[in-house]
Amino acid sequence: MQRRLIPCLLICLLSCCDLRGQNPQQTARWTIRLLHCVDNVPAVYDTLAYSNASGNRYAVCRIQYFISRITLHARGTEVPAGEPQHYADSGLSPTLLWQTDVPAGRYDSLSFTFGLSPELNQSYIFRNPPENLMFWPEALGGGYHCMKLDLKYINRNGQIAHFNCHLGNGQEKNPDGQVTGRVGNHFRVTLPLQLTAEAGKTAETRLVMRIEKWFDAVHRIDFNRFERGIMDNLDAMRLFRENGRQVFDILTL
Amino acid sequence: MKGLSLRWIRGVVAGMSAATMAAAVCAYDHAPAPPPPEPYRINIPFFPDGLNIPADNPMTVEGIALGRHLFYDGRLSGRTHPDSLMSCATCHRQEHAFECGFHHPVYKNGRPHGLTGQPAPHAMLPLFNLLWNNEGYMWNGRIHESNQQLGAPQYNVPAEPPYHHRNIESFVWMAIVAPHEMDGRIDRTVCAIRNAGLYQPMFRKAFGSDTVNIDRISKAIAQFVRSLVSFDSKFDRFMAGRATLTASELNGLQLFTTETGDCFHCHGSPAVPLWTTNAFMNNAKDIDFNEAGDRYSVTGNPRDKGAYRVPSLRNIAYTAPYMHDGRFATLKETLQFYNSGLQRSPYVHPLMINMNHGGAHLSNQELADLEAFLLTLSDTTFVTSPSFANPRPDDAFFTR
Repeated sequence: MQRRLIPCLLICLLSCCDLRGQNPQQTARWTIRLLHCVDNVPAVYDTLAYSNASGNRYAVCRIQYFISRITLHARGTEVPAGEPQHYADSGLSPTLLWQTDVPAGRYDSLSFTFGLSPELNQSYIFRNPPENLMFWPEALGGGYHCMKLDLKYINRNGQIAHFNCHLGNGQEKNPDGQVTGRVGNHFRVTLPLQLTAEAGKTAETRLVMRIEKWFDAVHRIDFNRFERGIMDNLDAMRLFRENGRQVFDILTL
Repeated sequence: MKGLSLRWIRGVVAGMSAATMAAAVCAYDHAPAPPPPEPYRINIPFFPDGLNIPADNPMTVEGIALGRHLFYDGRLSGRTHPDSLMSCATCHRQEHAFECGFHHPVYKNGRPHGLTGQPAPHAMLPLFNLLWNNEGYMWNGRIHESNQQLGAPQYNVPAEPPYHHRNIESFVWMAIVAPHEMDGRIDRTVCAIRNAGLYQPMFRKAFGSDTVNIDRISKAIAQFVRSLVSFDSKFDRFMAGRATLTASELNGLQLFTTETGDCFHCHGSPAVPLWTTNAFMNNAKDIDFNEAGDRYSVTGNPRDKGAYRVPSLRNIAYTAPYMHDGRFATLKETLQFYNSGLQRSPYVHPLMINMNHGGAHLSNQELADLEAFLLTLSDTTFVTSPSFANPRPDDAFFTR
């Protein structure tokens, strides 16, 4: 009996040593919580409660977008974090919380691509919803939407109207309407961060999208100008892309 | 001697018959367990791989075969008189992508009614590619995994597990008892199927024993319905490089997938080959929303007032009339509505950007092109496939 017990105990001890060898203390859990605010308070959806700088009274109905190539930075060192891309949807609360393991340490900035980075933004890479529903039609350049931000507003005639702020690949065209080039409307965002990711613990970062800045950060937007959408409007998408660089902020707990 | 001989022969024959019958009964009672049913696998290129198949009802070859018989058997109504037979296939006809069709000989204008004559509350939805729907079934999505309801007291259906409201299985008992469908009783249906004579071996192969009950009947029919997969339209062949589209069809595709026509946000594109997002949307048909069966009746969220399922555009040529209430008889009428008939209201889905102008305002030629493209989504293979057809067309119980 004792002869059988000794090898079992040895195996158990060796197993314990193996677990310790993995040294989980070297990594920390990092959580990004995605928040959507209007005028510094969490967005209330489907309510005509907001006014933009152009005086349009509007409601935020939903927001869906990709962020990709999320990277932590520490004194010039880049640490890619988690999956290559993440889909966020205001109507799907699990998508607003994103977790990954990162090396323990102190980080001083965070960067990511808003939308899918070009190497990822290939048509048909997503087979399942909800990601595949973000497709950007081939006729408009292919790939996937960076963002669908859907609003309702009161138009110049006092009627309820719709505005779809949809960003994706733009197409340059010659005077005959033939496509001559493609313009990606994704953009890189870099934000300062004070993150101490302690080994074996969870650190949380709150990434805040300030929705109103899509409409006034650089260019003041009047929704009445875009009643037929912007997906085939290169100039309009440029305006939003340039505004978009300033819509994100970081809150570290 | 002769008499003795005859008696002896009769006795021997009788004895042999009895022995044979006894042996047969014994053999039936003590038959070895049938081999496990063969798993039925579905993997369509480019289709999603998230299939809505309940864990307690995996698809099998034998289950689907049984379900196909039950789907077409008029005794599902619990009756055997020729005037009272009704099966799933009475209304769900293959040539109409398993809707009843606008020119059905009994159900005028594509509006079915039950054995009592009571009309169905909504227009029909076709039956295909349902196993890729994880958002809920029916026009309002009420039949969903999250639905905790059991039974239907108004029809004396007890609150017991087989009578759930969660998935395709649920529709079987509902169809049996609903007055606008079979207006029957579940016990009579089970009895009629049990007494039909052909099913015990099929139940044994599909489920391991010859027990006939509503749970197994429902599961088998649901398996067959999940096997109704449409993926061979002209457009599918075009995407696979096996067909070409005309200039008109290609222009229709262009209109469909740009904000000019703006169909793609709700109905998908080649990247969403189901040709529906399976979402629920108010598509600007009305300005008053008082109907009890909309999505709002399920969620209680005011944004869902007047919202109904976005149907697939696959096989749209076969599935008139259109909209949840069947208000449009033809595809042309439907396209005309989206072109110039959109009604402005606070409940219209925000993706309906053409609401801003009352419609897409396409030219007649563009509308014709759009319709030409939509017709490329017709899957003639699906609507003629012998695999989905009535398995016993010469049997009087197997109804149309």
